[in-house]
Amino acid sequence: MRVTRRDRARTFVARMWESVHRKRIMTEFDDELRTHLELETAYNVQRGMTPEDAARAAKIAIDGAHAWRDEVRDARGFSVIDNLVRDIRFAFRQLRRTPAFTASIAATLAIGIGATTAVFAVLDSVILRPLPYPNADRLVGVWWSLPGMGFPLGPQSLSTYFAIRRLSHSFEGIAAFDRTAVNVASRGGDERGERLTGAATTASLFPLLGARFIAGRPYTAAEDVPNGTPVVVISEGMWRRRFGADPKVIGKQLLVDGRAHTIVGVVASSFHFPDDVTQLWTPIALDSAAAFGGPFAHQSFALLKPGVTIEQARRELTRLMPRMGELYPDIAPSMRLTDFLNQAHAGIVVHPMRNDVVGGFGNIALIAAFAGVLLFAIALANAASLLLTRAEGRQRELALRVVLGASTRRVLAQFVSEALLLGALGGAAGLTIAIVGVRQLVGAAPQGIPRLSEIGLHPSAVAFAIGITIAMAFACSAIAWLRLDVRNLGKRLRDGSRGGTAGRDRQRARRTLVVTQVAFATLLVTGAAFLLQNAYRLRRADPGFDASHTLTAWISLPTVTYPHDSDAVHFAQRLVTRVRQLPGVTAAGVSSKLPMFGLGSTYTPVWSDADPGTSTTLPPSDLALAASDGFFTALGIPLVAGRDFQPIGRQSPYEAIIDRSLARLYWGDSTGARAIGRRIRLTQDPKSDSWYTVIGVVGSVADTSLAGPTVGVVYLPNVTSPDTNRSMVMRVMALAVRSSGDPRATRTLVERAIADVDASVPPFRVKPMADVLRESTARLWFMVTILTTTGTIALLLAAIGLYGVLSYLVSSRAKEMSIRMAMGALPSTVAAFVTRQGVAMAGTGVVIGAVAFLLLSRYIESVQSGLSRPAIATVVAAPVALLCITVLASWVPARRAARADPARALSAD
Amino acid sequence: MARTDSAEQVLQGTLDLLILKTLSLEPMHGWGLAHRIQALSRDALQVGQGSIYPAVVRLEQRGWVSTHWRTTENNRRAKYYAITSAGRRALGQELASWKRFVAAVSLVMDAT
Repeated sequence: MRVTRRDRARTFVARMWESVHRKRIMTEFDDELRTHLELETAYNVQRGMTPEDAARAAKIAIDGAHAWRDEVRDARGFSVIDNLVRDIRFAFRQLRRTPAFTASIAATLAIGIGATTAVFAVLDSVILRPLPYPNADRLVGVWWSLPGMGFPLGPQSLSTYFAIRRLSHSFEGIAAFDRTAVNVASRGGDERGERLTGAATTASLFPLLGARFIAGRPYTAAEDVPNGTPVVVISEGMWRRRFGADPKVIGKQLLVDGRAHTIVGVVASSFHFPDDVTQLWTPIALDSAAAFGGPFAHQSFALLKPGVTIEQARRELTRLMPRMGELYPDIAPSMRLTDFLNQAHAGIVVHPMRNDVVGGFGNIALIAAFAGVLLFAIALANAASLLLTRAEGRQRELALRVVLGASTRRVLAQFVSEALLLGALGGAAGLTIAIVGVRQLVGAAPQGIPRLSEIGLHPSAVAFAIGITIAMAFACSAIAWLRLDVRNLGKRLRDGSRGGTAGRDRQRARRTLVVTQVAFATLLVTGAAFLLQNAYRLRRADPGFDASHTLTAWISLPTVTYPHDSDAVHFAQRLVTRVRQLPGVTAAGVSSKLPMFGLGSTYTPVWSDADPGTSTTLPPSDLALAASDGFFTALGIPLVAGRDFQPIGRQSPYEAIIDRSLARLYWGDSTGARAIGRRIRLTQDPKSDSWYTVIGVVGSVADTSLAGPTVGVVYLPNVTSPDTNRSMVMRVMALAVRSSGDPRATRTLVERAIADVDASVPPFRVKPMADVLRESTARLWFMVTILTTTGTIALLLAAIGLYGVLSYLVSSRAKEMSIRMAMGALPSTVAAFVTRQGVAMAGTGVVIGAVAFLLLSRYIESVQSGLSRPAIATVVAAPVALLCITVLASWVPARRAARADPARALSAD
Repeated sequence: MARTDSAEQVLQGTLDLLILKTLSLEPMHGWGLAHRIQALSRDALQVGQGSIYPAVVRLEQRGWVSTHWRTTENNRRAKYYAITSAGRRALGQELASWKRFVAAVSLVMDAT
């Protein structure tokens, strides 16, 4: 009969199903047999036999009913299952007999599987899983590259946003947003407000992201206009927390920065944008009729039309660049958009929105993945070498079985079932480790890890764990199987040989595994040491300010209670005066920005009187901040030339303080002396007299990164001025307070002082400047933590591996060593021999690992800027430490070899 | 080893064919099937009664034969085997190729 592939498939499925119900099926067959017997007896009686004869005949006719039964069992395919069950039982007994071995290999597997799964789970949650929006694959970030201005990635200007929205045909829609932080209070409530993270967005944002509303609606385009109705969308979390899940919340009023907003919608908790902590959204109200395009300040993303590729969209936008300048000629007075784009060497960047969300996490992810893979490889090598050692111990038993007729297939099945059983043990423990590990990792994660709320062990991670468990089990048993050469076991047993050459081969295999482990461990530990070196360098690096005794706090003034700029200046004046009166406070001041923290960054081109005033080229961009007197003293920024500002309220709007790097850039004098009295301006608008006189030069500070290049900073007075270009009034301000003691001790005093001035403005991010500084290097420290943890585990595994192999070496060559000792070799010579073996293996691994690290570090340098070159101490110290540990690991077996009693070893066999 | 395999396969194939052919006439229980086949082949094939059972298991797993319990005319509960439509298709194909084979053989035989 012709049996097609489909018939085979049906058979397979039927067998799977039947094997589950095999007890019932075999009982049913017994019934069938009984019927058969009865029918046969009746038939024979009918033919004239006596019932006794008939029954006997029937029994003969179906003689060997047991044989029928077995045949049916085989036909059903149950024997395979039975064998498997038997193999697993056998393996289980074997493993129970050697608990130490079982525990060590299961632990190795558990560590390998656990660590790798934990790393995978985080990468999967953050990077691999699609963003939690429908159409996530078509969402793209739309950016400018402005290399001429020093910005690899710049957001949209109001003008470019509207131009793209109007001209482009690549997108179904485009949205823009700003990240905000707002003071929120309930209408009529007299409680202290709270400070929340929010976003100001275009109305197009919610439909583009497919946001699900559990009440109300998103705001409309009609509400997203300048001077539109103030409306707000809140998160489900905020609705539950602040409104007790009030079903009638829609239409209620919420004071956002002091202004009443109507709640129009509650968005489901599954919606996160732009990050996990955002709790309310308000219309961004971009003015499409604005005279000037404005700064490049709004982040934007778009939804590609189906079928349009990222590259097509990028090309279309690049083509549209000249026409953008026609729609919005000027971005600021006397600053043409076209000129700006030309000078900035502007280009369009369109990339998957995932890049924007994942952001700088990419490097951490890469290092974590790298550590995970290495750890996995080490655990695999370790497990394989342990299994190999064990298999060798059973060589005789296996050979005997093969000689007695066990098929090699059955022996292999035994190997695999044992490895699978070990894998199941290790995998289960590994999964537990992964669950705990992920939780630890999330707990240790620095602020700003993207998609933190989504991190967890998703089904894909569990599947991954099961997959690598099975892969590990098969790989381990395959290595042991191949090395043992089971097929020829029987032959070797007959020949009476103990497998001399094969034994040497196996030794080599095991040595290779150990060398690999040590090499990988070296790579991990050296990598960790390298990052540690950088982290310590950054900790020691001079940030340009003295953070040791300074407390900082942020305050945001609502426009409702502080309608006029002069009110805000007055607040700052009262605040600084009040704080300076506090006991222990030696200096206090305010500024629109703190070093090493992004809030308040505004970059602007700065022209100087050293520049002859060529209007066609833009000068470099610098940070333009507002500051009060006392700010520099409070933060410990040295005044290198000139003087500080006048006290608030008496500050002159025509004075500016610059940092040393600008003094050197414009007037070629880093002492600052030559800059005093010279002039700078932030605009070329000929209509206003926009010059500032430099009255002081202060030290440069690290602003975004301790490792990165410093930027120039212009500090402007916190004053109102009839000239709007000159008005630099802070509504969001950072207070810096220097005290003689621990800055933490002044915290309560400072908070009370702020409440004394105005109890309705909650201070936020109140923390010592030292903490701000530490947070800036948190990511690096996080990476260091990952690498040191995995490096330590790797070291431990490698030491176990080395120990196992040397122990085996000692036991398998006990005879040889005993002879040597009987011939007069000193115990120390024998110990030295064993140790030398260990050091040789470890040494090879360490050298390979160190070379691999040096090669890899070049690559890392090309990817991650701001890292120092690996110090010689780093490259040497980690391997030397590793070598010491391996010497220790080989010392125990070496001593055992040296102490062996020659007489006993020789008579043992 | 390989030779016995293929000889076994030929025997199995013939038995499968006989069972399907028999069941295509009417559903039957195992005992009836065994006797009918012994009678049909006039004991030439030497099919032991027990060989029926692994064979019907194979056919059942392929979906060519279905089974159900019911009472015989003598009020005994027995498991009945019936051919399925897939089984009829397989039988039809096999019979056709069998007839082609017989025709080819007789052509050769007649030519000599």
